[in-house]
Amino acid sequence: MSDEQLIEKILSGDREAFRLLMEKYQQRVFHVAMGFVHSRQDAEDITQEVFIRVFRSLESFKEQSLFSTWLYRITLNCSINHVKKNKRRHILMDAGEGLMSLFNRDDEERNAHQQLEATEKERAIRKAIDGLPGKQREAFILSKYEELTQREIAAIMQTTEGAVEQLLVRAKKQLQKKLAHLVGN
Amino acid sequence: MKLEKHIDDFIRKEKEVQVNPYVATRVLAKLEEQDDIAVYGKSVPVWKKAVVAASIVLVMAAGYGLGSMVKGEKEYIAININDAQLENLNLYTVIGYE
Repeated sequence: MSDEQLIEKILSGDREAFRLLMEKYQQRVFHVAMGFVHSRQDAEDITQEVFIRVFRSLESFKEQSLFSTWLYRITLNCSINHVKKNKRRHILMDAGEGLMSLFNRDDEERNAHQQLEATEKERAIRKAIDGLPGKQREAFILSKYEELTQREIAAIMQTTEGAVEQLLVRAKKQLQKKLAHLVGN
Repeated sequence: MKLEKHIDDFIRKEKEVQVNPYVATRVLAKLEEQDDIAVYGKSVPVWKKAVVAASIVLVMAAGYGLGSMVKGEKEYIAININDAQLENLNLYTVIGYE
């Protein structure tokens, strides 16, 4: 069943059609949310929020763009809002994780060292992605986590393909600069 | 490039995490819950409140009116309330009574 048909059914009160729509898109929404929050629980909360918002505002969806484009736009907004709201909590969690990785050393020192190194590497990458400026981060996540084309990203971010290309190039440079120390390892 | 591989590996790892299959069910349950709250918390229009108050007054007035219309002969029963004719409790309290 196409998105248009599903939307028509949902608007006439068919909740089962909404379930089908959610099942079709939930993994994509979840991936984008993961790109922003890097936590399963938070990404699931965002996914739920996105679909509730979709259901509540489906009547205002004019079908001037693809449903997926509209959905990704809502996902970006919800993810950004979630990150803003939980900024303090994430700083604390980050610090906590750092301490945990120090205490959770195995008896075998070599394994512990490797594990610690891997955790530190992941933490550095996560921090670098989170530290990207707003638009660069959005373009980067849509490109890397959802493998969308520059045209699709441009439609979602309501900008030109050229602008998206620029954002991606700048994001890549920023990451290279921030993560230069990893290449030496 | 090595750095890109690190980043790609990190993203691949995050993408391997699957969304909880019950998310859709949870969303539907939440929507139902919100609908219930919306129905329950909906404010009642003033005219409805006025109609309810007016009908209560009307029922009371009708009850009073109907009650006043009943006229019949009343029978009076004499009730003996003379204490002296009650059972003499001294029978139980007098000491040495046989």
